Amino acid sequence: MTDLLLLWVSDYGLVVITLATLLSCFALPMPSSLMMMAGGAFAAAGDLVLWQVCLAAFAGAITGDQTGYFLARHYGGDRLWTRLRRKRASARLLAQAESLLARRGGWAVYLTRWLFSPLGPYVNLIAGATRMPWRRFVLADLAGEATWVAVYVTLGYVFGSQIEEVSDTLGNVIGALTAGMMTFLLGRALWRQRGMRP
Amino acid sequence: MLAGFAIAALLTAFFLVRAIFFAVFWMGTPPETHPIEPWMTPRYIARTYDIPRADMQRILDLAPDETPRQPLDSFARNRGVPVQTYIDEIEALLDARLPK
Repeated sequence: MTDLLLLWVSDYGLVVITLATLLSCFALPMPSSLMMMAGGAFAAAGDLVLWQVCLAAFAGAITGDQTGYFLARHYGGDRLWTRLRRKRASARLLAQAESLLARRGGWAVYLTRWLFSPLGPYVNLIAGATRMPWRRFVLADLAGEATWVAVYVTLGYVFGSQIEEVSDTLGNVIGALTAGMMTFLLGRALWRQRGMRP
Repeated sequence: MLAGFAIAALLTAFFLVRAIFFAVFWMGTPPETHPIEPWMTPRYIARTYDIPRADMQRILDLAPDETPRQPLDSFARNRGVPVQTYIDEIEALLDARLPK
């Protein structure tokens, strides 16, 4: 599967990279980081142009994020959110998520672009549904995706033939970081809940 | 929520172990022993494995000013040659060069 995707990158180049980063914003399982690394590796070899690889990946990612945000904001996401907030079962958790996003929304968007990237698509939807100010969302999004693209394209440029090994390792590091962050947040919520009901 | 916490903690451990496994595997394989694959382009191969341009031109039977930007796979298909033939030839060149 990986080999087939890499073959597409070398066969069709930039279009495939844009598509991969675009689709990964909708939580579709796309090895977009591997494909960005392949773009960087081909740029190092002279088969692609470095700035074009970066731009292609960046454009796909931004388009995907903005689409997620606006779909949630204008097509019923906000109404669904309000309704779920009225339900007793989910009200407290959602209120916590919302207040966290109101206080640290910019950071949440920035860090879920690259460091906790598996959460990115969901944060887009929550940001849209809770009507996070668009200016703040777009600034954090641009900065975060720029970081993501820069990191992976550079890795590909530098590591060349080892991109598959780098990608396997890094993918699991990102997974561990994301799961670790969720463990921390859930643990903290449990701790506080216990404090409230002695 | 307790179940969620337990699952998240297990996932963290799972990914950590996998990350360590892949990192060890990665550090243990020198880059020049990575096999040649059909998705690689001629220039990519030449650069990563440090193959002189002349050798590459000879193996792929290229004119002096020809630099195909396509992967080995479609290059071979256009020529009507099985891609494995090229891969074998390049690997033979690399094997001959490896220190005994």
